[in-house]
Amino acid sequence: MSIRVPYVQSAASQQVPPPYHFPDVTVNAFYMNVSMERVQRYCDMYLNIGDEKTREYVYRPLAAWPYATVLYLNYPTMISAAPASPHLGEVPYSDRGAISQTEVFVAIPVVRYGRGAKRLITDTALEWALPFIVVGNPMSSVCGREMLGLGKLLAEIENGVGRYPESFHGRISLPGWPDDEPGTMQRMQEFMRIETKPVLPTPAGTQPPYRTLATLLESPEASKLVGGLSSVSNFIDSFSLGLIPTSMRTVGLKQYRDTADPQRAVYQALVTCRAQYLNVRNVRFYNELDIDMYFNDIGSFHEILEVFLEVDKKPTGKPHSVNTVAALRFEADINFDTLRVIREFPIDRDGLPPTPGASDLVSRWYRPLRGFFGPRRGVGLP
Amino acid sequence: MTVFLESFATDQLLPPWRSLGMRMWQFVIAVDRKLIAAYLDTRFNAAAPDRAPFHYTPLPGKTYGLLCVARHAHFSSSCDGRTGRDTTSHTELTWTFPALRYRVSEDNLLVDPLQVWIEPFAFDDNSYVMFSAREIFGTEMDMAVIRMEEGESPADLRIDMAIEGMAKFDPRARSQSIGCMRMGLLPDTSEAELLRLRKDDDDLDAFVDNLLADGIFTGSTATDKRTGMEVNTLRQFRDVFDMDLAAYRAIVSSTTQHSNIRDLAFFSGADTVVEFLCSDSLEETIHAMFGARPHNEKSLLESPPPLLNAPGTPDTNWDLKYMPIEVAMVICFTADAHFHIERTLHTYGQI
Repeated sequence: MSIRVPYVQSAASQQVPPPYHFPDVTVNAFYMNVSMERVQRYCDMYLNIGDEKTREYVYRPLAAWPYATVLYLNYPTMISAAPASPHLGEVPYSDRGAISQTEVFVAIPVVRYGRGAKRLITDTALEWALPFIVVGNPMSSVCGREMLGLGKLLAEIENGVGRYPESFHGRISLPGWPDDEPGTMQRMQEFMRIETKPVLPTPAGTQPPYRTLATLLESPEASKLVGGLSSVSNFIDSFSLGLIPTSMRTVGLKQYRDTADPQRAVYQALVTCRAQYLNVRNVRFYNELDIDMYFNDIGSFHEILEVFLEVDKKPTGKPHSVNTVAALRFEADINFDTLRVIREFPIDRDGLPPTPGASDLVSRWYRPLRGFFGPRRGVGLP
Repeated sequence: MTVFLESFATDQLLPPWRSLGMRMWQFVIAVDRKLIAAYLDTRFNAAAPDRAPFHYTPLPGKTYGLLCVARHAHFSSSCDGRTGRDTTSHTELTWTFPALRYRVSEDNLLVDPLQVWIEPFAFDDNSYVMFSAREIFGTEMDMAVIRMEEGESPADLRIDMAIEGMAKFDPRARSQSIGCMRMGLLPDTSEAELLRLRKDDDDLDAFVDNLLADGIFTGSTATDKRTGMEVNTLRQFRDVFDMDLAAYRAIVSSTTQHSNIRDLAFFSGADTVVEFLCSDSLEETIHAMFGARPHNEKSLLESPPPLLNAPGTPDTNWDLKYMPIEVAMVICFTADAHFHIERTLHTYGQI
């Protein structure tokens, strides 16, 4: 942003300022296979924007991790930790109280490779694309869409205990169209459903647990290791091979339409944010062989499923069952912070030169070094 | 041209839109000229950092606005090339007031005044519509639960609205469904004659002339460029790093036209109850537009009880203070409505 345009503040604005703190979040995570080809297609469509010859980076799937994670999160308390705005003279957001919400998203790791020898070292970073994200709170959906560039939809989300104690039941209903016929009325429809048996060990399962990943991780040796490392959350990443995402840096495309010509964009930028999982505790595994997970491949939902599932070209009108490769539940405190624009794209304008783009693609590890030794740079600066 | 990259998350009903058989209730409410002028100065007249080549002022004399509740049973996109996924239904509540938009000449003179409508806030019960309104033409629209019920007689009208928010700001407070607004007509209310309502109040008479000029309840044809409400909105989105900055900010012009008007009726404001429920979440919005007013402990609409407590609706806190708003008159009709985005009048920061 080369020119500083003030935002007209008002309490009616739904955007609660970051950073956010979410204590005591319950996370149910389900891992499923994902096609690298589909992930690459998503990267090319929404992240690898602009001319390939001049672009300083390229996003690719993480070849070592061909899985998508479906995360059901229950946030009992969401707190804005933002300092009071000096301009408004109103109650600071952190003193207003807390909201709660449920959230479901699909997370896929992608790697941003810097292009050229120097950028390959300094600009390469692991980030998480969220091709599908829904929330139950309208304020959260607006904030996510308008500020963070996450395509949050507002949904009815069931997130709780299933038929058995210690089991999980999840269900999402979304507004959608049952078919593509002109004039068909939009309505709330079930989008997906997950049912598990109780966490392991349990006698309630129908599939033997000895073949599951959970059995390996819950062996006496491994469980000791999990218990010992759970207070050192950064180590969980390496131990669990990323099963428990201790620090997810998400990347999303923030864009706005032109009002009069909605096929045009008036703003496009890649935005990253960090979701840091702290104090991970009570890690329990489900038997992934005993999980029923399906997505409804009907009408307008087909377009969602095409992004990350191997579905037919046309909607089948039936539930699309998905096998999970691992499933677990844990609790954590989550901090959501360090939001920034990493790439602002030039915008074409009628009769005027394009708006200038800007880059701030330096990876996390190199950022402090560059800040200490190098010249000061940033978005909007040369 | 920079192409907008479509996805299912932005699979919105694109403009123009049309609403067949829209049921509309409009409550005409007098507002403080100073409050409106302050709103216009903050939103439209301020430098950001450049000034728009327009200047907005309230209409001369006593100023009224329209609190509108519209049920769109068949709301669809008329966008070229759209086949399917084009129809939805929703109920919205909007607050609009007229203002004069002057063009600022090269000599810094205010010329060519034009009446336009400003929409400071709106609520809707459909998330797709809310996203579209916010993201396409910039209305500051919030999600709400809205129930509108009409019975055999006008006095059966009840409109209740609730939002997710805080009754009282406190670090230990929890967000909940809170009552936001109640509207209805008093028992034994009957229709009023427009001529008599206009005769009783000269200021209201002038305001009705404005409504007639824009064809709001007399109607216009879709090709008639002379009539319709031109609505101007400030479309702005926050920067992700600095909350005080906008990544994009512009003034947008759109037009609403009504046609095929039927079931037109008028009611006296004296027979009407419009109440805001006072919560900290809404206080600034209400006070910015309507100022401080006396509160009641209870609703003036004693029966029936709030519709939102009916089965299948969220538990809503109605135990709040009620702020009655004086209504000058009520207009009710059924119509077909057409909504067009005209153009972006000014984009800030593109010097």
